[in-house]
Amino acid sequence: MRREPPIQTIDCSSRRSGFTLLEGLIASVVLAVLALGVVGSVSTSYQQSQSVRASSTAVTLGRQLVDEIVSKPYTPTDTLGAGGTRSTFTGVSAYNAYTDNSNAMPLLEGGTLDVTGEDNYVRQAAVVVGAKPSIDTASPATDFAIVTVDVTCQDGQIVSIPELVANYAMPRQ
Amino acid sequence: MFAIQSPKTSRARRGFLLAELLIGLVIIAMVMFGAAAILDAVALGWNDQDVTRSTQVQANQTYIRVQNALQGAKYVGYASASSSQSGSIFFWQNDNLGGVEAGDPYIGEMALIQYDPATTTLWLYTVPSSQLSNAAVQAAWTLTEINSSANASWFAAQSFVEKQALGGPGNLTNDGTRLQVSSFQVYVSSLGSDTQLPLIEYSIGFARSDGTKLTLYNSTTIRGPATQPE
Repeated sequence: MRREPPIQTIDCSSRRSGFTLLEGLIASVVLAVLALGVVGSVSTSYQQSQSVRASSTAVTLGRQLVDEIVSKPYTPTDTLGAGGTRSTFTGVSAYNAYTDNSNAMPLLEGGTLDVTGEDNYVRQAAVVVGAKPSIDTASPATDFAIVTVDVTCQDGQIVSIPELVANYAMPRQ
Repeated sequence: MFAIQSPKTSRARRGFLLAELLIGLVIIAMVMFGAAAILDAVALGWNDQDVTRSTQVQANQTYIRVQNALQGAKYVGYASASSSQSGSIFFWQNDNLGGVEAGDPYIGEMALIQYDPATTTLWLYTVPSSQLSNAAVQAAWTLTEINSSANASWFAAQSFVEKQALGGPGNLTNDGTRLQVSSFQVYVSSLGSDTQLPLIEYSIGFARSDGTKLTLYNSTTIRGPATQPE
């Protein structure tokens, strides 16, 4: 006796249909979000790299000013921040409250120079008298001062470089 | 043997409508354009970052070499006018010719940093240790002599003097990736002061073939001898 084959039902509606427009749109949105995530992390990496470069430049500028300041004698009786131009400063105290910016850096020889191009760095010096180390019990506190140079980068970060100066004859070897 | 088709088949098998297809294509095109713009910006950013880093590294190398050469100086002789973009500085580099600290600047103890616009290179001229037994380098100079620009030029031209590149392509082929030195300005302040240490202020300008420019500004203090050479 011949058996009839089972009747097949093809549900084309579920197997053969493509994506709907809505599904396509959702996929596009998901793709866009993923792409934005990747670009965001690349952008962060770029910004960090720029930040490192800025702080490196700031350290160089800060160290230059600190080195210049400590090449001058420190005399406790000098007036702090007497004003005037940098090229005429003859002592550490004169640098208190001194400020300049790298786009128009005042040179010791006179005149100015743009030393950082499109980025601008602001340097500010402070001299705080009375920073005597605790191991020195003999000297008066005013024989010591802390010189701090703060360099503010374009992105707002501040690099601070402190240096201790003392009232003693400048060693010339 | 027939498969019985559900009534839904006719609807399910139809493709996108032309309108749907067009909208889909427009959306995909917009996404692709957006992605391309983003990738382009990222690529430019990377390239810019790479050039900046490379420029910064090469400039810093030059700065460190100049700083190393200058900060150990005993005294400064001739220095070109500060306004000169092609600056040079002639200085007493050390006081140990023949292992003796004589207190006078001997020719073998001198050094010259000079910018050469023709090679876009900042050069350091020194007497190498192999030449220290040469009789010509064992003559002492006076303060007046080391302050002479003619003596600085004479020094650079001697066969016993060796020159090395502090910055710029030097003797190498300028392949466009190297940072070229475009200017060197130097100024010496408070030299000979009894109360302040001499300070050498300098700036080095750099340029790359792609137009990237950079200026390094710095100064170094000289802790020279208590008495200047006579």
